[in-house]
Amino acid sequence: MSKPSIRLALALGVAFAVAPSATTRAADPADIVIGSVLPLTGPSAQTGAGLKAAQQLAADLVNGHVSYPLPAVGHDGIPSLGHAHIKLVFADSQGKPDQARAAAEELITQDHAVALIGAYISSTTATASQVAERYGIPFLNPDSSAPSLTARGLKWFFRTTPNDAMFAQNFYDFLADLKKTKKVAVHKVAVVNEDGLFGTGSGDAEESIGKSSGYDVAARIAYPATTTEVNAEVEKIKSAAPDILMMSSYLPDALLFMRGLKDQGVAVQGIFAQDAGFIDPGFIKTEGDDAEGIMTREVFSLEIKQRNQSVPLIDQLFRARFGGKPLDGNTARDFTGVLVLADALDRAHSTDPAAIRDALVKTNIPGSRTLLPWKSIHFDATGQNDGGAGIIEQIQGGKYVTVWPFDVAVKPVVWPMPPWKH
Amino acid sequence: MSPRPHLIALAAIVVLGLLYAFGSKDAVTLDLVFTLFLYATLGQSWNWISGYAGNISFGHAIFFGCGAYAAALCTNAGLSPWLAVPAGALVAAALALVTGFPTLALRGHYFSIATIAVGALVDTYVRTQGWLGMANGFELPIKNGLGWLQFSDKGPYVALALGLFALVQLATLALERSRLGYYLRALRANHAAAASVGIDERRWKLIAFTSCATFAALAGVLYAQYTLFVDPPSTLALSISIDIALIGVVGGIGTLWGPLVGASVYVLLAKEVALRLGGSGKGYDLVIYGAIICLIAAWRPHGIVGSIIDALRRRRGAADVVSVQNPAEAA
Repeated sequence: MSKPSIRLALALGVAFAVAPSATTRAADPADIVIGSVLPLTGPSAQTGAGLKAAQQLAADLVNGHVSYPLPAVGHDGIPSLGHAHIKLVFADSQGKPDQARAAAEELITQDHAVALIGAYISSTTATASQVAERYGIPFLNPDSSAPSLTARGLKWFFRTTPNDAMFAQNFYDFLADLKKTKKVAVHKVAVVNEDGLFGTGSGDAEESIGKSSGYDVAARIAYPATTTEVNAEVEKIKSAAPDILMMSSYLPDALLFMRGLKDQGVAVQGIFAQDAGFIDPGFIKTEGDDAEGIMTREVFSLEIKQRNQSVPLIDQLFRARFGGKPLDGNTARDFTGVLVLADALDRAHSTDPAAIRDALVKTNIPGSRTLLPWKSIHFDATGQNDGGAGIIEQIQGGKYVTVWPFDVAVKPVVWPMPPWKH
Repeated sequence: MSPRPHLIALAAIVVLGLLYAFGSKDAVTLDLVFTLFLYATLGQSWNWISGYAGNISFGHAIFFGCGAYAAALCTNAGLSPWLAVPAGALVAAALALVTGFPTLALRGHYFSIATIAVGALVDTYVRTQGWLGMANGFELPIKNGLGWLQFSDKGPYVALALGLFALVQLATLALERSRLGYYLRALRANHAAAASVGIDERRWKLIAFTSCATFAALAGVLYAQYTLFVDPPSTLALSISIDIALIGVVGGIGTLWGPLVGASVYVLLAKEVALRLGGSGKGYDLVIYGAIICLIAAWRPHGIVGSIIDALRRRRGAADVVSVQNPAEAA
C-alpha cells in the first residue's frame, strides 16, 4: 500500500470506528453470534476491558468495508454467508474457573453462539473450553499460554497464541542463531521461576527444552513470588556459575533478584526473562543502567509494522476506542483471534459448528497477514497453532527494542550483557 | 421449639428444587441454583465450628479442597469419584483433627490464626507436589453417568447439591437439639462455666470440627465433578475461606437458615453486581461488594436471619428466651 492510500484507509477507519453501527440494514441475513468469555470483572478486569475492545474492533472491521492486509476484514460481513454480520456477545468469567464455565454455558445455550473465543486466564480457558467440547462448539483461544491446554486431546479447541513451551523454545532458537552469527559460548543455564502457575509452566519448559537441546541446566530454582529475600537462591545461582539465567518473575521479586545478583557479584552473559516483572515500567526505572542488556520474550511489538503495514493503523483505531492506550501483545492476539474465526466462517459456508470446526482445521493464514510476529496460523493435531513464535527484546538505552527474530529486529543484539555498574 | 416448621420448610425447598432441577432447561439459572446450594452447604459447615461453637475458622477452603482434589485424583486415575467421597472426607477430618487438637481449647483468636496458617501451609504444599498437580492443578476428563458423578445436563448436579444441602441441614437440625449442640453453645456463651460443670471443651469441639470438615469435603467432590477443574486458587486459597465465612456471617452466625440466606445474598449479589457494573474495567464490582459486606457487618452484626429472629422476639416481647437458644446473641 502506498502512503496516501494508508492515510485514506486510516481516515476511513477512524470514521468507521466513530460510527460503527451506521451500517446496520434491515433486510440482512441474521447476525452470526460468536460468544466471548473474558474476565470483565475481578482482578483482571482492566486487561479484560482491553481484550473486549480489541475483539469488538476486529468484529467491526469484519462487518465493515475498509480493506487492510488482514484476513476476513472489509467484506461487509461474511461473504459466503450472504454478507451476514458477526455479532460478539460477551460473558464475564470474573477470572474464576467456575464462572468461566457458567459463562460459556450461557453463551451456548441462551445466546446460541456458533463458536466461542476466550478466555485469557489459563484456568478459565480450561473450564470454558470443556463446556464447548461437551456441546460440540468450536473454541478459539487467542491468549492463554499454559502448555497443558492443548495437551488435553480436545476436538473443538484451537489455540492461535504460542504457548509457554514455544516461548522457551524461542530462547534456545535465539541462542542457536546467536551461536551462528557471533562466537558465543553458552553451555550452562540456570532456570529461576516463581512457583505459581505462570512461573512453574515457563520454568518446566525452559528446563526440559534446555536439557533436550544439550544444555547443562546447572540450577533450577523455584521460589514463592511473595518472598521478601532471595539470598539463598542467589547463592545457589552463584555456585552453579551459569552462562545465562532464565527468569520468570513478577516485579518485586525481579528487583530482589537483581539486587542479590549485584550484591553477590554474580556475572552472567545474558538474562532471559519471561516478560512479567521485567517488562513492568518500574523495572527499568528502578534498575537504570543495570537493566541494560536484559532480554525478554514478547508476543508483539508495534515495530512489527515492517512486516505488516496495518499494525500502526489498527493501533490508531484501537487507541481511539480505548482511551489512547496502545495495542499490546494481549489485545493484538485477541483482535487476531476474531479474524481467524471470521476467516473460518467464510470458508465453512455455514454456521453449523461442525462445518466451522472443519474450516478451522484447514486454516492457513501467512504470518505476514497478521499483526503478530508469527510464521503462520495453522493448527496441528492438538489444535495448537504451529506457526506461532515470540520475539525477543533487549533493554538498550533505557527501553526495550526488538533484537530477534533477525528479520523483524530493529537493533543488533548486545552480547554479552554489560557488567553491573552499581 | 418443635423442629416441624423447619422440616416442612426444608421439604418444601427440596421438592421445589427438584421440580426445578428436572423441569428447567435454563442452564444459567440452574448453574446459579447449584452454586447457591453448594455455598449454603459450605456455609453451614463453617457455621458448625464458627457459629455454634464460636471458633471462627478462616481455613475452611482446605476441607473443600480435600474433597475436590480427592475427586480429581480419583477421576484422573480412572477410578470412580464416589471413592473420593470417603477418601476426601477422611483426609479432611484428619486435617481438622490435627489443626483443632492443639488450638480448639485455646482462648481468643488462636484458633482463627491457626486455621489461616494451616490453610497457607496446605496451599503451599499442594503447589510444590507434582502428584497434586503443583500450581497447575488438574483438569478432570469428561465422562458421563452417575458412576462418574458427571452429567451432560445440569439437573442431576442441582439435585445432588440440593440433596447434600438437605443432609447437612438435617444434621444441623439434629445438632441444635443434641447434647453436642447444647454443649457447644454453652461453651461459647461461657466456657469457664461450661467447663466447671464438666464439659470437655476440646473433645466436643473436635467432634464438631471434624464433622463439619467432612461436609465441606463432600461439597468439594461435587464441585470438582461439576467444574472439571481443580487448582489451588479455586479450591484452597484464603479468599475461598473468607467467602465461606462471609456467607455464614451475612446470613446469620449460629442460625439454622443463616447459611442458605447468606449464600443467596452472596450468589445473587455477585451475579447482579457483575452484570450491572461489569465490563467497566475498573473493578468497581469488588469495591461495591466489599462496601455491602461492611454495611451488613456494621448495622446487622447478627446477620440477616439473626436480625429477623431479634425482630420477632421484640414483637413478642419475649425476654424469657434464654440466650443459649439464640446463639446470635452471644456471637
